[in-house]
Amino acid sequence: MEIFLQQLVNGISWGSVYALIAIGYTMVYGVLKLINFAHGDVYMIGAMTGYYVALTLGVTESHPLWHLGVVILGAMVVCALLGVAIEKIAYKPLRKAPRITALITAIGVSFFLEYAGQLIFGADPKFFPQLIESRPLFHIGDVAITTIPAIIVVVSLILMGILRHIVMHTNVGRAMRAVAFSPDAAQMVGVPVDRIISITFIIGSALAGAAGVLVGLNTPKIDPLMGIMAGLKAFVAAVIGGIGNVPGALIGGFFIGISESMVSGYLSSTYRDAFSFLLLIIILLVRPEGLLGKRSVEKV
Amino acid sequence: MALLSIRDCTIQFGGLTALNQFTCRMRSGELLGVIGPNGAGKTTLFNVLTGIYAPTSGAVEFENTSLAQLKPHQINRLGIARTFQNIRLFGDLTVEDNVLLAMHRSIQTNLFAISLGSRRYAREANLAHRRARQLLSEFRLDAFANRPSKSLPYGDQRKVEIIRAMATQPRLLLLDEPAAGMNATEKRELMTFIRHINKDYGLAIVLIEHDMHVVMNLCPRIIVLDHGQQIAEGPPEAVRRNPKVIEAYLGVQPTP
Amino acid sequence: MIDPYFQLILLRCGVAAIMAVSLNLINGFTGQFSLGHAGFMAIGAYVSAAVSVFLAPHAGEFVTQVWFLIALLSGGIAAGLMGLLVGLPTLRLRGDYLAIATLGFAVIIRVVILNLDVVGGARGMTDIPELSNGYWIFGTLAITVWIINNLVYSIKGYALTAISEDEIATASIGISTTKYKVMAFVVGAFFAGIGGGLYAHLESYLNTNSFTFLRSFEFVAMVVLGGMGSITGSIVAAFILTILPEALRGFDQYRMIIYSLMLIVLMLTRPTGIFGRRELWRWNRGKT
Ligand SMILES: Nc1ncnc2c1ncn2[C@@H]1O[C@H](COP(=O)(O)OP(=O)(O)OP(=O)(O)O)[C@@H](O)[C@H]1O
Ligand SMILES: [Mg+2]
Repeated sequence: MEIFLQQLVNGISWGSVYALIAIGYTMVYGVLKLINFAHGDVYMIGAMTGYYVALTLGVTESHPLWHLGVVILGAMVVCALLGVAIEKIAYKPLRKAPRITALITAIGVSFFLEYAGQLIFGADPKFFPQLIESRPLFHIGDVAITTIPAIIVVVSLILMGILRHIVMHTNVGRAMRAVAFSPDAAQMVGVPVDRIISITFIIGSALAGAAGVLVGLNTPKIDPLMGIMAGLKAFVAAVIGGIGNVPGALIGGFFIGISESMVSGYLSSTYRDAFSFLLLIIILLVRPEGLLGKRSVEKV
Repeated sequence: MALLSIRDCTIQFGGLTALNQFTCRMRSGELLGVIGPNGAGKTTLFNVLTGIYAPTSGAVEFENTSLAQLKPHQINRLGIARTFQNIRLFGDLTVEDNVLLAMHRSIQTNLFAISLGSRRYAREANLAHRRARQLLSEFRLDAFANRPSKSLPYGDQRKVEIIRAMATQPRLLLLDEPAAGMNATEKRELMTFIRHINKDYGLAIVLIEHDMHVVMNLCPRIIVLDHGQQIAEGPPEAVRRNPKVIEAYLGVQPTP
Repeated sequence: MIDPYFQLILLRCGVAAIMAVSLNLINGFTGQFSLGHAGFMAIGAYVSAAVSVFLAPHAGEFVTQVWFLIALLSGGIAAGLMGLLVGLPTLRLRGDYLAIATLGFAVIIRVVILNLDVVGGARGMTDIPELSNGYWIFGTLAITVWIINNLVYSIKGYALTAISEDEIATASIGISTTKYKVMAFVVGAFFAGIGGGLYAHLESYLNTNSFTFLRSFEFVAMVVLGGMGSITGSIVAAFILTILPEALRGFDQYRMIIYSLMLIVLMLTRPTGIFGRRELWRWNRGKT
């Protein structure tokens, strides 16, 4: 039981990170029908940015939460800029190209970020400064709920709440849904499609940036290749939830996070990575549209 | 015996009923016209007949064989071939290779033997090449045989697509707006061409066409669809005068 | 004689060419984007190495060579069977989903090997006889090219190109797209397995780290650079991308950066790669 609770807590905090990244995948897929392979690496850049911002600020004892806020904001801004830059340079010229062309480009961008990252930040792992002191907040049975998982979950929920508000209740959100439904039709009724696509990248990348910092709090070892696996798993989360569907990404994220933690806890952590992909393959075969997605018929 | 029999076919996409309780029979060798305004469900009818969409309810039989559960390639093997409204040739393959591929069933050698350089395949391929050339020359397209099909003028691409469909040796041919984008001369040629394959090959044809002149001249019997519903059926003269048809087309300019 | 270092590079080029040509059958000709080619290579490498190490008798030269052939074929068949297992369910998926699913399978294959103690697990497998020489590698490359060429440029084989262009139209002329996709996948996996076997007996040491996503990506880069749907292109690109890193000293740090930039620039400016869909030996076909 103790293992279970411990892994559950672990799984929920990883799950919220996966969910934050998965939202970016799903939103971009929604408007562009493209798997933005580089998205996991944007998350890596978020962690790296957070690292440097935190180092610059130094450690304060008095206002750790404010500090954290600044670090997260910094990472979000940098990632947002990076996200639009990727979109404008690599994806925009390929809007009308075959999907495979865009996919290969995305893979190229991903590898570029990883290895340029190795060149710039060094290949060795860095240790994320301890912004928040880890101490128990309260106990459930024998398991202590500590500050860090609590903060990760709370920050994620706040960000998702803001996102939900934007998507459901603002003009930008409405326009995004219109573009996702049909770019041509959206264009026709006067939606500035290009701008909406850029905004989608901004929001998605910013969330990935925040996720990078949150992971830094939890597992302080960060390195330029950290985005590969996390990114792929977040993508799996997005597919499980139903790609293009934001609440689906959330559910998928928690699903992957928790089940993965259970596999590490009860089986062995070597099987962790294989497990997520097994889940993905099963989902694709049984319900390719994901848990919340809608099945569509190709128009001929 | 009816060649094709469609009974109470309905297909829905979400809330939209693209085809509603559609019923129709066809004799072998018949040339049937299908007309109707945009979005009437004409292409959807073809997609149901070729197994691309599964009808929500209703039955389709071809030569007394039910088409339910059959995959598109199986339906083609039964003897139904089609063209597409938005030409779907294999652009990177040459014109001849498009036709040859459609004749793949005449190659009996299996892929394993082919990949090991079978002699028998070489003989069969030779024969197939000759037949493909013959078919192309019959429609005066042999000059283009070795060009990538995407490099052909639009009208010729449409013809190649029809020939490709015919190369699968069907007994029923479905043509989806073959005259679209053609000029007057090309249209006249096309009409001769369609009449020729209908008469001389004895091929039954369903022709979807927006050009009234073309349909009215070619088809002894015409079905009119509107909002997925059959609103009229009969010879060209009767259809032309049918008030329901006139109403459905109101605002749509029929080409003289 | 040629300098042994240079010789080794040439042999590696040959193996890479087998890998690229076999991947091209799947990704290029048939248009089914697989990101898991290193997984099939790994299966071929480990199975053939296991046959050599555990089963092959210690006898004369001739017997050794025959057993090497058996080892290679075992690796190829094992990879082919895995290709069937992977392909049957996943080939129904749309392009980008297929990419992720194959990538996932390669990860699973790697994790399974990593947990197999018989083949060394995480430590890797050592002392594999060094049997891969120029005759074996370039002989196999020639056979691979010959077979794949016969296949893709036959009347039935045009179905693969047709599938890569338009599956609905392909089905409309009576071709079972599933059958052909699975066939391409199995044949591609088979030759990848053979390539893996040659690799194992060339390097004489195996570790699962040689078969990560990165390795699959290298083969994808070769196929894309050479031209998706050009055997010639895959061979040329395999040589270029194998020799280049060796030619430039201290280049290793930049290698992946250059690969990835190359892919991006290629996609933006010349998505057809060097050769497009052309072959050296059928140069004038399909020209306007
Ligand atoms: N796969 C699909 N999903 C949703 N709606 C569809 C699909 N295919 C067709 N429809 C809808 O069904 C209706 C009938 O379409 P269809 O293509 O059959 O019309 P049509 O008579 O061929 O028109 P046109 O003359 O413009 O070709 C249209 O409203 C169309 O939008
Ligand atoms: Mg239509």
